[in-house]
Amino acid sequence: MASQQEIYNQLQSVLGGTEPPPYENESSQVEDLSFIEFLFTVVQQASGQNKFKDIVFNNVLGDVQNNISVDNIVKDTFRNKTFCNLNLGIPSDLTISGNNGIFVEKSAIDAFNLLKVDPASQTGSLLYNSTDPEKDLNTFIFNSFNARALREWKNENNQTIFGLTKQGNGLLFQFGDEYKNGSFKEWSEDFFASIEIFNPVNFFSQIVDVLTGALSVQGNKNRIEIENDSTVIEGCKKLFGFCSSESNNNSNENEINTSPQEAIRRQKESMKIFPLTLVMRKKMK
Amino acid sequence: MDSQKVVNELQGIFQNFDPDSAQSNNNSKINPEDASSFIENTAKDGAKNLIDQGESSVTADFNNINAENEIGVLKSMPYALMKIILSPKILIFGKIFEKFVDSENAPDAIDLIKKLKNVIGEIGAAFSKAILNNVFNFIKNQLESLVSELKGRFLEQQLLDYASVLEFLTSLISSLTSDNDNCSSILSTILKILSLSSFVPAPPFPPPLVFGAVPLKPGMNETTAINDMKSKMEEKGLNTGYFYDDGTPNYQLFAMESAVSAVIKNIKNYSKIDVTTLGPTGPTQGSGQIQ
Repeated sequence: MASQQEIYNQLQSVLGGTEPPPYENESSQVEDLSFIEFLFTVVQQASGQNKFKDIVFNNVLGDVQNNISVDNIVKDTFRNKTFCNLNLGIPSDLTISGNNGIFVEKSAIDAFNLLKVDPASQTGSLLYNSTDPEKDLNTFIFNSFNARALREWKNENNQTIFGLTKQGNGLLFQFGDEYKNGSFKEWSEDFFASIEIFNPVNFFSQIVDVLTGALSVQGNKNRIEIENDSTVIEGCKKLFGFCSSESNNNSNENEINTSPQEAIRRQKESMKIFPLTLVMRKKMK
Repeated sequence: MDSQKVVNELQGIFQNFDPDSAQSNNNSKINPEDASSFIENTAKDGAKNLIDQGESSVTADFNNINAENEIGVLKSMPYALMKIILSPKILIFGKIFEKFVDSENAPDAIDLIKKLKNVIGEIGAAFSKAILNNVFNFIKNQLESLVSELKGRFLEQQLLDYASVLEFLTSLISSLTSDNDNCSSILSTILKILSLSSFVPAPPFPPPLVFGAVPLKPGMNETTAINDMKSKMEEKGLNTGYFYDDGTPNYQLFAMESAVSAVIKNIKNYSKIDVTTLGPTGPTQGSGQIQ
């Protein structure tokens, strides 16, 4: 914990400031979480546990649902970071009426083994945005892996954005014919306009899964797959600005360590963070 | 903890939820109260199982477990968002994009995520910042409310103190202005206090017989004297009101009050007591002022 002077300064900044105190770099702003935990301690001590519960559920959970536009953040970031400055054309042979396509391996797009869970199942109804393959792209992709013929993803104007055909363990991706010789940028805009990313049920279900692992267990994931999920999450922590000071000391900041030893260490770390996870892991054994 | 039960109860929360109208219908949002109860009940069930297995210490720790879970919910939000964002629907775009700009094959999701680290990192930072700002602002509001409340309590206490003093003074004034029998005794008590507070030390060596009881006496005072005079008049059946029933001024009382007042004033201002005592060094003289 910080020194008394630091705590005093932080408290001053809370009462007098309009935003959190500056951090040395973005990646450390949430992490150690010492500042936030300090504030939580203040609220818990001063106002009691119920007030703290308010912060978590009524305020943050409510705000993520109502005010933080996840879809816009994701779409804008992709737009600014990727296709915005690209002036690429779509070759005609990569469209549905062409001869070729882009092969997409299942392992390349299914980081958390979502496609193991049937959207029509009880667990699937919580993890997919919709059981209707015309409304949720994840459900559409799941169905494409179980279809023999070409399946087309369309927007609300019934315009085909792309098509998927099952090929071995993967899918053959082809652009919609309307984009033949068109720009990748235009296609990207239409692609993101056609999908919904955030869904409150899915979001809370994922929180419960992170805490308990119950949905992973019910989704027929085996223990190795669940541990792999944890490894991916841990690996992405740095990218999400939740790196601990310990992991900041690693040699390569952006390198994701996927070794078995690292996976076990991170698994233990996650058990420390989430007591419910510990309960669930005990049950699984 | 029974994972099937967790899933059943989770689905129970969302039984009226219409997933296809989630973005447009506010009624489709998760009720935070339901979410809170769900987390608490899940922890309770898990704890019960552990207690059944002999982990009795869980009972004592249950409140802490709940508190930890609430922090856990907060901490798990970025991970939950990450799982939503890094789902096939987004990664398929990443895969196509990477394939389009770079012919090198990305064999698995980890490699793809590495390639998209700038994009994912920026999204993560945006969420982290949004959540952090939210928590910050809420806690700031809480602290400000707390400060206002404490300030209010302090002022309230001050007000109570003032009210208490005012109440005392009001009752005192009403006692002094009433015609009841306690009037003179209350007045004399107050005068006694006032007199004691302005007590002037006696001369260097006052004779014990004359001055020994001085500190205990209230001292001479014209109001006391007038009141005593009135008491005596009342005993004799004389009118002590300032006006008679027909409105005529009671000049007799005015005259007597003026006389008593003048006498007391003269005694206090001009009288003195001279005393001669015999000490170890021979006769010594001292003098005192009547108060």
